[in-house]
Amino acid sequence: MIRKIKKNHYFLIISLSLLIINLFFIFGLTTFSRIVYVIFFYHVSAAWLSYFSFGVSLVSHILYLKQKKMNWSNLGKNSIIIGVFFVAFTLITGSLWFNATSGAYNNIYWQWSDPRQTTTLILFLSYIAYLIYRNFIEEREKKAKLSAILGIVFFPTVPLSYLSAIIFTSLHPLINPNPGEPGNIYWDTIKMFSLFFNLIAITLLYIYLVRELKELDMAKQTLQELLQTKMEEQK
Amino acid sequence: MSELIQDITTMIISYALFWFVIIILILYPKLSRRKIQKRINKLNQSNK
Repeated sequence: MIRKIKKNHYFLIISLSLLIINLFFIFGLTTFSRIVYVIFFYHVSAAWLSYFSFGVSLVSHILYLKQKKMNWSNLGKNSIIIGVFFVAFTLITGSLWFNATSGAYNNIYWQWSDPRQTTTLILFLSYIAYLIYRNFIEEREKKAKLSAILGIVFFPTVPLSYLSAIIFTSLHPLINPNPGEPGNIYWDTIKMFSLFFNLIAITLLYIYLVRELKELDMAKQTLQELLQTKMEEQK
Repeated sequence: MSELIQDITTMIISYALFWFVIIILILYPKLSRRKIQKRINKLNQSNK
């Protein structure tokens, strides 16, 4: 067990190191007309991780319904926990970004007419509802089955959030790495590299967190079994 | 306040929030597991 935890810590060390090294690329090599544009690297990375987490949760919930293995259900739940945190961060930074770029800091943080901002809020609230609902059910099997169904039902909010900025008119700019081609903003190779560097770092962090949360679930399971044994002994 | 200072403030808030989320997510399983482990140890001791 100790070996396993140590192995998992490599993911954390590499991920945090990459995030710190990337600061050099972001601040040292990239140039922006305004420094606030740096938020973009973290806003996009967090959005990517939340979409990825919800994608993993969808797959694990489907696998749970097929194989009835509790590990899949727990992976789905843990991915949603991580995703919810990062989607909250995405929403907050998106609002700060909007306030900074919509005008000269007019204290306007939210635009209901922006499809991506609104659909991402729906996504966030859906998965918060999932976590609350899952917490309310006591019976293990029932909890896993119903939350798997809920996890699958809520997933369409993810592609809806992503595609909303492409299908509808949105304030969200679309990145294009090729100059001259359509896209609201053109990003050169260094900026794209920094963004991908962040994405790799944050995905490694996801792996670490999922494994840590799995260890926590195992500890909870052991405690529950011990409590059950004690209760049976008392009877 | 000039736009540059406001930009820097917004950037620092966002960056601090990014690390806050990461630290919370790293600490939550660690601290919870420690708490559970204490309860497990207590239960094991009382069973002996």
